[in-house]
Amino acid sequence: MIILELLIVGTLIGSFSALLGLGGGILMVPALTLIFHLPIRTAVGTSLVGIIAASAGSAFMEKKDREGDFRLALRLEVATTAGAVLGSVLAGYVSEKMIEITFAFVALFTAIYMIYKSSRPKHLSIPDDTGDQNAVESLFYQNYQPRHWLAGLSMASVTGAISGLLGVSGGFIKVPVMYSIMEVPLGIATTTSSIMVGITAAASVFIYYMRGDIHPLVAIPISIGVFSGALVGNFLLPHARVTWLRAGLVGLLMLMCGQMIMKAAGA
Amino acid sequence: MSIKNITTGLNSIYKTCRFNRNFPSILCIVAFLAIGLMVFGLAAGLLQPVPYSFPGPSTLSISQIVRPVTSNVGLVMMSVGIILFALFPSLRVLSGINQFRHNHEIINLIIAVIVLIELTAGVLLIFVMKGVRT
Repeated sequence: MIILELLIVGTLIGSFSALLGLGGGILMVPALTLIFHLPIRTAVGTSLVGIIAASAGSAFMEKKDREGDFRLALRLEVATTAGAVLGSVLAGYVSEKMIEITFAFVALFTAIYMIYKSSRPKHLSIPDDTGDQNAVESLFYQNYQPRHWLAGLSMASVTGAISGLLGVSGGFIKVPVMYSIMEVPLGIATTTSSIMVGITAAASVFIYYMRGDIHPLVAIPISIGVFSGALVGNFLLPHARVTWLRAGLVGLLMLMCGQMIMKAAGA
Repeated sequence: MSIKNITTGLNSIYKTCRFNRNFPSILCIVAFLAIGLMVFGLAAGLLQPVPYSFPGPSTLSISQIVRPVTSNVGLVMMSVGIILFALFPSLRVLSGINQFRHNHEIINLIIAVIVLIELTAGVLLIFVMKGVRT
């Protein structure tokens, strides 16, 4: 039954997202177009609903000493939301092939980012629940002041446009921008990003809704699956071999990139 | 009072006045109401006499929900549930506005209002775009 397949796919995507710190859109859109053969705009609209589900799930499960910076999130959302509205409007005028090709390159970029992330020193990664309080404190320390706002806001607007056009959360851009450019602690950058992705998706989702690009029979099972998968992923996080999962995801993203390009080329 | 002192003071206020992470009840109510509508609507849609073919119909437009021309209760419930769920982040921003107003954080209040205006503008923009249903 196709609803069950959607639930399973959504759960797997939600688990991967929780384990690897991705928003899920980068997996949802290709899964819906390549496995379920949905038009890309429908896949993007569905993905945006799923991202809101994942963001809401993260918000309810967020731990007290690992909170995001809501004020920083809102400041960046001024630019991100504007970009998201523009991207989602643009999606109605751009051909499906162009969207598929753009998505393929974003998937490739995400794979490269995952490789870069795995090569970073271990102490700069978000710790799992091993009780390492020193690691938590170093990644969530409070005495920081965000800098380079112009660069941060510029990249935020680009991220919003990508999110609105392709249905991805953009966390793979937002987190490095906040951490590397704006000098926000990595832990706070990651949790702040999870706050932002829901608001960014909300900016675009109504445009896709009113264009008739959201089908409830697809969006609802996927969203329920993603939400459940996020819970499963958070539960499995202390026990998971994230390195192996990351390697598998990189391979999957490369494969999806090739498949999306071939689909766009009509092969 | 030097500029450096002012900056240091503003910075310390920024750090200490953290957003209260306790979600207001209204956010929880809206989230669970939306999920309930979606789940029950999906069940009703799947149990109807004539099953949908994949991917099924798209969501109903606002005018179709307000003045329903279909007796498909399941589709109405699913559409309303998705709308409510999509409103969840906006309600979170509204909750922030309320918190900032309570704490007299004027600048953060203005920023949150700007974000809310942008979210609303995105919705209003659809009425001037081609290819949308109203």
